This record gives sequence, C-alpha cells and structure tokens, in this order.
Amino acid sequence: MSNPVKSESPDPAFDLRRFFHDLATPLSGASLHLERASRLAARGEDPEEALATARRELHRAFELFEQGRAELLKP
Amino acid sequence: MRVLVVEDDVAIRRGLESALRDLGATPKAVGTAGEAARVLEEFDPQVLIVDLNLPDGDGLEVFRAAREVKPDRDGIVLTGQASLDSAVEALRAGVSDYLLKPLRPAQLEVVFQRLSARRSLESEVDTLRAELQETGKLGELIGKSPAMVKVFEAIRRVAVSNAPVLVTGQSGTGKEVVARTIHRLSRRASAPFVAFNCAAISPTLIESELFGHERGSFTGADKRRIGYFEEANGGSLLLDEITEMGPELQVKLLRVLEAKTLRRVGGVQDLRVDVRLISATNRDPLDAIKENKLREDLYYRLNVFPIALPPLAERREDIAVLAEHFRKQIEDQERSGVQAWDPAALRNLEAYPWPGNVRELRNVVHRAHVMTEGDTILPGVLEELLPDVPRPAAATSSRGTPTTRTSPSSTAKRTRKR
Repeated sequence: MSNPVKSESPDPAFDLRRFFHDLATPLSGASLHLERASRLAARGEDPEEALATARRELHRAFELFEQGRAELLKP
Repeated sequence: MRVLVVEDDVAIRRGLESALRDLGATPKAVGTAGEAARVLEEFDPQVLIVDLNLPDGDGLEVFRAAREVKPDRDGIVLTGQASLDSAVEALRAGVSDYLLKPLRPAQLEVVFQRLSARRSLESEVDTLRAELQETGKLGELIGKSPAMVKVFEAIRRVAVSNAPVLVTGQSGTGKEVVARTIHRLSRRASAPFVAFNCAAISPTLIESELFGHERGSFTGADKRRIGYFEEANGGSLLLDEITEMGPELQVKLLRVLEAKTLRRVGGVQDLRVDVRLISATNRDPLDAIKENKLREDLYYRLNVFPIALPPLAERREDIAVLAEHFRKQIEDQERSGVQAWDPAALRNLEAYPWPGNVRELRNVVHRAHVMTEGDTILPGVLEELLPDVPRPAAATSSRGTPTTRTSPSSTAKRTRKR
C-alpha cells in the first residue's frame, strides 16, 4: 500500500535515531542536575547553580529539537 | 568505591560525579580516552563508567585497557538508543551493566547499588576463601581434617546455586552454622537468613509460624502475621529438626516447594515466595522415612544437595584447633588473662569422646576458662570437667554410661548407615 505522505517525506538523510541520540545528551544533563538540585535543597544547600545547569541543558535540548523539527518539516 | 567516569559531555560528567558522590562512591570524571589513560594508574578505579563514543576513541577500548591491568575492574557503559547494539557488544566484553540515555538518576542508583552489592559479596567470598586456605576456617566453621575439608568444599559448591540442602549430623555438630555459612556465601547474602526449629513450636502453631495468618483466621489471631517463609523472601530459610514436623504440614511444605507459592492460614490468595530452603536433622532421614516421621517425597525435595557433618569424635585432629579458637573467643569477651593451653590439657580434650560434639567442647572450654586461675589451662581443671576422659583403668562418661556409647567406631557405624 502506497503512502503519499511517506513518499514525500523531506530529507531521506535525516537520521531520526541519530536525532534521538543527540537529544538524549542534554536531556541526561538536565535530569542529573535537576536531581542534584533536589538533593542539595534537601540538605539545606544552595541549588541555584545546579538549577542553572539544568536550565542550560534544557535550552540546548530545545535548540536541538528545533533543528530536528526544521529538518523534518523541510519540503 | 573509586569510580572513573569517562564522558565528553561536561554537564553529564559533572552530574554523574555529584550523583556518585552522594551514593557513597569516590568519583573522578574525565572527558576523553586520553585523559582516562593518564589518570588510570594514579586513581586506580575499581569501576569505570564510560561513554561508548568519545571524541578521541572508543569507550569500550578504555574499559578493555583498564581491565587488562586489573581483571576485577567493573564497567558500566553509557549509551543512547542508536548504539544499543554496541551496548550488547560491551556486555559481551565484560561490562557489568549499561545506562541508557537520557539518563535517569534512579536508573543510575539501581545499577550502582547492584554493582556495589555484588562487589561486596565477591570480596567477602574471597576473604572467606583466603581464610579457609590459611587457617582451616570457613566463616564460623573450623577444621583442617579431611572430613571437614570435604564439608567446606560442598558448602562452597552449593552456596552459589539455589538447590535445597539437607544438613545431617548429630546434635552440636554445627548444622545451623553450616546453613548460615551457605547463606553468607550465596547471592542471597544481603537478604534475610531465618532459622526455624520445627521441634520448638507446638504442632498447632507451626503452620501459622511458617506461613503466617490472616486476621481472624483463628481464636487469638487479632492481626495479620507474616510467617517465616515470607520473612525469608529473597533469602534463605533453615528448617531445623525437619523430621519433627507433623505429616499434614509436610504435605503443605511440599506444595510450597513445588509451586513456590504459599497461602497464609485463613488467606484466600496465593503469594509468590523466593526462598532458598536449607533443612537439617540430627536423625538418619532414611530411618525417619521408615518410621513415618518424614514423607519420602518431601525427603527427595529437600535432599537435592546433602551435607553430612561428622561427629567431633571422627575428626579428633580438629579438637585442639577448635579448643584454641574458643579459648581466644572467650578471652576476647571476658579478658581474664587466660592465654594458653598446657599441652597435656589439649591431649585430654583429644582423648574425650565428645558425645555433645562441638557445642559440648565450647561449653567445656568456657568452664575451663572460668575455672583457670593463672594464664594457662592445666589438665587438672579438665579432669574435674571431664571425669571420664578415657584412661587405661576407668572409662565411664559423665552421665554414668560407658564411653563406648559414642566411641569413634560406633559413630562411624551410624554414619555409614546414612
């Protein structure tokens, strides 16, 4: 059965698995630093720096996501 | 535990370092294979957590190189979905586990704790093995006689399996100590060891003690109670004096062993249990079957791996070693300055028939220790404690029965019957 949407799919070179792999790196960083912030806060220490790192990593993930999205939507 | 993290992403590196520190490890984190090679010797990690794709090489190669120097090093690989095949290859190369990206701290904790538990168990097993070779000790068991060396070997073999064990031996030979040692050397060592004496509880209560009961299941059951089987879940359960268990309960026990599930008294639900069963008896189990004290089908279930403990009279060469071990143990507790044995006193111990086996020897050593006034236990003290030490003229036991009752030849006969 033919699938017109698939046949028109944008860039055959776009590697979804690679994209997930790249995205997993900043998501790992965000997750580890959020957890670290929570441990610091529980011990009464300042979680600010850990939260800032988590935010940076989430921003990086979002930028990567936007790049991937642009690739996927390419005509 | 020293853990070397090799990961090129700085946020992951620092996050892992902090999480590992909070898990009790001593971590060091580097970003490249080259840096890893440089710090390896000085930091001497016990565990490596490596990203498979490093900017200057392959993380798996870093692990292989580290393991070549020290084969007991463990490895955990970090991998994304795209390189799951490589993770499988890494497991084949000897890494213990892998962490899938995006990393979740809970996943790291589980993997790390599992590895720590395994390493601490392996280290305990190594210690026990070294102890055995050097001093004739395996845990709390002591002996260099050929009979005990065979027992130690059997324990080491069976400890790594899940096979049910039946320990036989006269009272006081150390059946419970054998069961504890098997548990301590097994993969279940960090889970509970529960010992239950079937003869010590009234037959009407045994079922509820073993399998637990639901609230209101009988008069007096005012709340739910977890039985010994559930208490030992994940670990080992010793059923001592198994032949004293009533026939109806033996049927229930057989069912539990076959189905690996149990039902609490008054319960309606079958509960899955994972328990390694070790049973023990001071009777000859085959005699117990003939006398209808032990079901034959249950015997075959319990007796997958038999261990027969020799009476002390059949391993006289261990008596002096045991006596000295107990003297040291008691002196450590009581600090009364009793430092040694007179050689003649040890000869007296070696000549005695020991109907109560190792337990009796320990009690005698304790009493001799208490009665000794100087720093050496003299034969005179023992003559009071062991009036029937065989001497050319008179040879009657402290209980007034002839010592031939438990002479080596008669006990040997009993052992052969098994």
